[in-house]
Formats: sequence, C-alpha cells, structure tokens
Amino acid sequence: MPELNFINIFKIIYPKTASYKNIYKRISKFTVFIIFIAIAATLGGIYYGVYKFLDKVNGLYMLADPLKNYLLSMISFSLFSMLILSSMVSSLSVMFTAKDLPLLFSMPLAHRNIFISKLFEISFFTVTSAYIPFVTVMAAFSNSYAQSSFLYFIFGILLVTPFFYIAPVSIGCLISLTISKIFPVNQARKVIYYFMLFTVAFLIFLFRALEPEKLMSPEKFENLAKYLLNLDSPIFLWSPSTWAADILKSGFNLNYDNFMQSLFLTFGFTALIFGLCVFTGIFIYRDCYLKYQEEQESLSGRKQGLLRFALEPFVIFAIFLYNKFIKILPSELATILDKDLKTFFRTQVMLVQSLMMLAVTALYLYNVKLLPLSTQALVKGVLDMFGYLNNAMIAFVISSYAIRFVFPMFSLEGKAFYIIKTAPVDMKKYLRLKFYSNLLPMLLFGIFLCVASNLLMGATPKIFLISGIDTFILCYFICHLNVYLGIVFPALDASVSEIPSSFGGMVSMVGSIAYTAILMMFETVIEYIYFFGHFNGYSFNYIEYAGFIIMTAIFIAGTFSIYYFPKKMAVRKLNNFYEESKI
Amino acid sequence: MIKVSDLTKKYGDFTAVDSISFEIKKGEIFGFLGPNGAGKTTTIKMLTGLLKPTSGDISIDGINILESDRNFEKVKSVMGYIPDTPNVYDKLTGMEFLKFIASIFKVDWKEAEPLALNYLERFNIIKSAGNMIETYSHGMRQKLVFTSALIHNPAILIVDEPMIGLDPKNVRVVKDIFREISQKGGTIFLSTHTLSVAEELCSRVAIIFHGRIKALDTVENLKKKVIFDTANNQSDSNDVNFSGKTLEEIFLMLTDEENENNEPASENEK
Repeated sequence: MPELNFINIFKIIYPKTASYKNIYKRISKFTVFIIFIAIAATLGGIYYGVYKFLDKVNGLYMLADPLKNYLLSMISFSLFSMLILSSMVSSLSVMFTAKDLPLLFSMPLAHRNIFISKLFEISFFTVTSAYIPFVTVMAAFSNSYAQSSFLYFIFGILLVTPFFYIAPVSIGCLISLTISKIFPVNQARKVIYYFMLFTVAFLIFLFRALEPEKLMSPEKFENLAKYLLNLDSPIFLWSPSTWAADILKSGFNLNYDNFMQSLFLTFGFTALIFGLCVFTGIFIYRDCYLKYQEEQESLSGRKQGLLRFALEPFVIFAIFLYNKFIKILPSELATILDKDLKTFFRTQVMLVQSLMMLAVTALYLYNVKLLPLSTQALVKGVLDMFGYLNNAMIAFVISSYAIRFVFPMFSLEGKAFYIIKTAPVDMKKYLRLKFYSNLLPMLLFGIFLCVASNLLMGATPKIFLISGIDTFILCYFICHLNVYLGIVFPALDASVSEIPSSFGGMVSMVGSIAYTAILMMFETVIEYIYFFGHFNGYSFNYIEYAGFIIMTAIFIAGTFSIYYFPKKMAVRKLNNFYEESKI
Repeated sequence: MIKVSDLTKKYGDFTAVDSISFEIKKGEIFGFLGPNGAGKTTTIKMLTGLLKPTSGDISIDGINILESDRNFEKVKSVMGYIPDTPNVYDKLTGMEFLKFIASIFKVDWKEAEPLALNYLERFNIIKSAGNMIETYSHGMRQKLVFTSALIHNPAILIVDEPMIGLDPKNVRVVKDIFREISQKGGTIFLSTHTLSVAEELCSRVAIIFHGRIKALDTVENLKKKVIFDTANNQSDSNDVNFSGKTLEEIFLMLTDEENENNEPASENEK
C-alpha cells in the first residue's frame, strides 16, 4: 500500500483553515458575540425541549428506559444516514469540482494525500454542523437518566465522536467514488442525486412501517411483551449507529452489559470502512478526477431524454402560462425574474432539493394524519396545544425552505452581478423583485402546509385562524430575512449545495428559528393568560399583565429587527458591493 | 464625452486612485495603462458605477453621473462594459444571455438580434450560441461578453484588459471592431497591459502609477517628452539615444523611475 505523508496532508488543509481564520478576524467582535448568543439560545431551546419531553417519558415508569433506548437508536440512526447522504453530495463537489483541485494536482503532491485531505475536509464540514445539535440532544438524554453525570456524558460522547466523524463520511465517499468510477462523473452526479432521493424515500418508508407513534400509546398493545418486541426494530439492530447508541446508553445509564461488545463493533467497523475508503480512494480517485476533467472538456449541449419528451406538452403549457404571467411585470424586471427561474430550474441541486422538500412535506402531513388525536378523548385545550406544535413545525419547514431556496438566490447571481449593477436597473426595484418573487412561492407552500395539516388534524377554527396568521407572518418575515441576509452574506465561491451551510446561511437559519421562537412564545403567553383567565372570570393579575406586556414588546422588537436591520444592511452591501467583496 | 476631475478613491488609509483628471473626446480611443495595482481597475469601476469615488467628479456627455442615481441610470443605458474576467450566467444559453442583456438595456430584440448575430459570426461562436454557457471555454465567454456589450450600440465602451484569453485571430477581430466603433463616433476607454495594442489603436494614452497619472498624451508626444526630460537630466545629453523607442520602453522608464523614488506598492492592490 502506498505510503501516506501526514505532513503533506496537513499542508494541503492549511489554506482552508487559514482562510477561515482570516474570515473570523474580519468579523467584528460584536457580530461574533451576537451569533454566539443566537446559537447558544437555539441549542438551549433544543436542550430544554428534549429534556422536557424525556421528563414526560420518564413518567412511564417501567417503559421509560426501553422507550428512551429506542429513541436514542432512532436519533443515532437518523444522524448516521443523514451524514452518509450529505457526504455523498459533498464529496462530489469537494473531490471533483473544487476550485483548488487543478492547483493541487499540478503540485508535487501525491494524489493519495490530496484524497485524504479532501476526506478530512468533507468530514469536518459535513459532520460538525449536524453533530453540535446531536451532542445537545445527547446532553438532554444524559441528564434524563437518574444516574446521570457530566463526566460520563463527556466520556460517552468522546467515544462515539470518531465513529460519527469517520464512518458515515467514509461510506458516503466510497459510494461516490464507486459510482464515479462506473458512470461518467457528470452522469454520476445525477445517479447520486437520484440514489439519495430513493434512499431518503426508502428510509421514510421504513420509519413509517415501524409506526413509532404507536409506542407513545402503550395501552394499545395487548401486553408488555408485545410492546417491548416493537422496540426491537430490525432497522436499528443491523445498523452500526445502534452500536454507537449502545455506547452512549452505557455511558449515560452506567450500565455496562454490552459496552465492550459495542465498543469493539463500533471501532472495528469505523476502522474497516475507513481503511476500505482510503484504499479505494488511493487506487481510483485520480482516475475519476482525470476522467471528470476530460468530460468537462467534451461537454456540450443537452440530450433529449425520454422523460423530457413525455413531459414536453406539460412544459409547453406551463411556459405558455408563465409567459402570460411575466408580461404583467416591467420588461427589465421580467427579464431578471426569467433569468433567475431558468437558473433555478437548470440547477440540478435545486431540483433535487425541491423533490426532497416535497418528500419531507408529504411525510409530515402523513404523520399528522396518523396522530391519534381523533381516537382519544382529548380535551379541546390539548388539541389546541397540538395545533400550536403544528404551527412550530410549519415554521421549521418554512425556515428549511427559505434556507434552501431563498437564501441562495443572490449567491446564484454570483460574480455576474456586475451585469445588473452596470445596467440601467433601479436597485430598489431589483430588491423588491428579489423579495416578492421569492415570497410568492414560499407563501403558497406555507398556506398549503397550513391548510392541509390543520384539516388533517381536525383543528378548531381558532387554531386554524391563528395558524393562517402565523404562516403569513412567518413566510413574510423569514423570506425577508433570507433574501436580505443572502445579499449581506453572499457565498459567491461556494457550490449551490454548500450555500445554505455557509456562514450567512447559518446566521439566517438561527435568525429564522429565533423569530419563530419569539412568535410562539408570544402566542403561548396569550394562550396561557386566556386559558387560565377562563377559570377566574378573566380577571388578570399584575404578573399576567406584565408577562403580556413584556412578551408583546419582545415580539414587536423582534419583528422590527428582522424587518429593518437585514434590509438596511443589504442596501448598504449592494451600494458597496465591489468595495467589500473584492471581486 | 467623458470628463474626470480630481477623482480619488481611498480604502481606509490606502489611496488607490489619487486625484486623477482627464478628458476623452467623442470618437476617441483612449488608452489607460499602468502596472498591476496602479489603480486602473479601480478607475474603471468608478466610471461604471461599481465603486463610489471618495471625491471628485465624473461627467459623461455633460451629465454629472455622481450627482444622482437617475443621472447614472441615464448614462448607463449608453454605456457598455467589458470586465477583465468574463463572469456570466452559466445556466443560460449564449443566445438567452444576449436576449437578457438586450432586455435590461431596454433594446427591442428585433433591433439587437442582427447585431448579435453579426458579432457572434465574427467571433466564430454562432454555432455554440444555443449551448449552455457552462460548456464554454474562457475565450468563448470573453467573446460572448464582448458581443453582449455591443448589442445595444453603446456610445461609450469601457474595456478592462480586452485581449486576455483571446487567440491572435480574435485579437484582430476585436481591434477591427474598436476601430469601427471609433469611426462611427463611439468613445472607447481601454485599459490594457498589451502595450502594442494601445500603441496601435489609441489616439491618446494615460499612464497611471501608484494611483496618479504620470503621463497623458499621444504616443508620439509621450516619446518626445520622455526623450526631452531624460536628456535634460543627463550630464552629457549627446550620449543619449532615444530613437526608435516603443511605448513599452517608455512605460517601463516611467514606472521604473517611480519605483526608485516611491515606496513599494501596497499589498492591498485594487
């Protein structure tokens, strides 16, 4: 096996780390502080929510531990499969299309070292953003056990960290490399996207087949044995993520029955899959990369596929309607919108993400339909509580939509923005166009989600109305935030799939979640006062008045901030774009 | 046609462009020369509205473009800009891109199409016009950007390093196009490192160094002036022979002399 030079590997990684260090230096300390606070608040919210939920589960006495173990395996499996899929997409851009590759391949560096350094890069950037919330959830799990200890929590997390940073990335890269070796790389991209789509659909099907919501109603099982049998689902038993989850359980619960076995299996699997990935990469990575370069040289035109042929009449009709619609706008704005839409629909990552969004939406609505709301004698207040939870979930889906489709819209303009800037285009109109052209589809999506989920849930008219208002407010302000922060923090050098995970993307996501939390808290306070006011003839005390006033002030301040500051910063950024962006 | 007065651009403490002034007449091809980091691109970005000057004035066709956004918008519609890097929308086809440009410059495609086809033909990229731009080579993109800057018949063309990525045949096409535009009364502001092109095309040139204009005249007059100045500085002027000097040698003399007297160029090259 060829020798690996770790000094060279670190030298290859250095420019990335140095550029991130320089970006960090450029950001003001105040911004860093605000971001830190926002992230801490989000993680704190996640911790609190999960801890409260597990606290309820603890109330199930004998069933608490098996149910928590099941949930732990489920979370570990979800993270593991999500990381595999993300690594597959990242590996395509990092290993084949990254801008530093021609330079690296022209330098006196062994391609095996380039491969390993790229593997580290994928691992760090793909895993970290998902792993931090995972650790937060695990902290809540650890604390929910009676024997919990901070030391044992750290111990458990440290033991599984190598597994989550290495194993899924190795599997993802191995699949990408193999597909790239078999298919032309340009085709491999499509193959991987569709493979991902089918994998996600398959996982969704598996999860649904397990019907985890049944576990929340143990009374429906004939006896305890049947309930416990349901907890041992094969999907988790055969996954390496379950061994990692077992290590965590042992650490949190101080129960070391299967600890050594799980430890051996986890580390053994990690070493095996990493070795296999490195071995494969050493032998085929260079060939795949060179093949990709040749394909880029000979790439021209698009072939007419069978699917495209079959869809042609619908496409023609849609284009006819679209052309009618676009004539309403002034010609230069219609042209910009037309260009944006063409760019969107011709960017494969966007299309795949659209399909994934549809799959997630369908899954969510199906889950809402399965909720045992109509079969149980629920008091109206509890049903309303589910309504609020539904609103929070809709907000989360809207935020995900915004970060994937709205935030990248300015970055997609990319370095060609000078064309707009040097043309006789009014920048105010341009900004308005960007906002409303993104708001319209987002609002339609939000309204669909709101109406469908509330109908399926059998929500009360009050909740239906609140949900509608929430959806409108959230769509408007989250779209506002993402359009303008997309301009303030453009990711001009990132690939389309990397834009949402850029620095600005994270700021937007945190902002969207924070605003949603403020809105939900505001409504919770109102609902709380209204609900308990019912019992005392609506005579409120000073604390309730103070709570209402404080929460209203926070809501108004939050809404003003999300409306005013991003727009102001975006206008400033557009005016000084070529001074700040250095392009 | 273009009048620049005391134009200055500062980035913090660093002065990228230091109080430059020049005037370009209608139908003139004006060369703007200077070494890397001299302030050429910064000046061009101020002329095209991509950067705001720290101080000074820019008037185009008698309109002060810094006075109001509306003034600038008016001027932009008669201006064409060709940047040094041909960044375009990769997911559009060449022809879609040209239609897009025609539309944002408010030119009817029926008027712009014959011009577009003419330039695509001359640049020999007409067969690729229906392909997505992401499949184009650097040179093809550059030629597409040239075409896009010309289809609205601009009265003023601002060009930053036009010959990068072009083969000799296309360099010839570009030079011919510039001459045609100038003959029809169009004004061209041409920033370039290719001094032979400047010498061949430009009626006047300005040499910018460390943000200041060091020389501004016709190439012939510049040669004479440098010969005269240098001869005056020699103890025995009879020993100096400047006959047959090219613009390149004059450029090097002017910039070398400055290198000795000034501090090295700042790291923050603009």
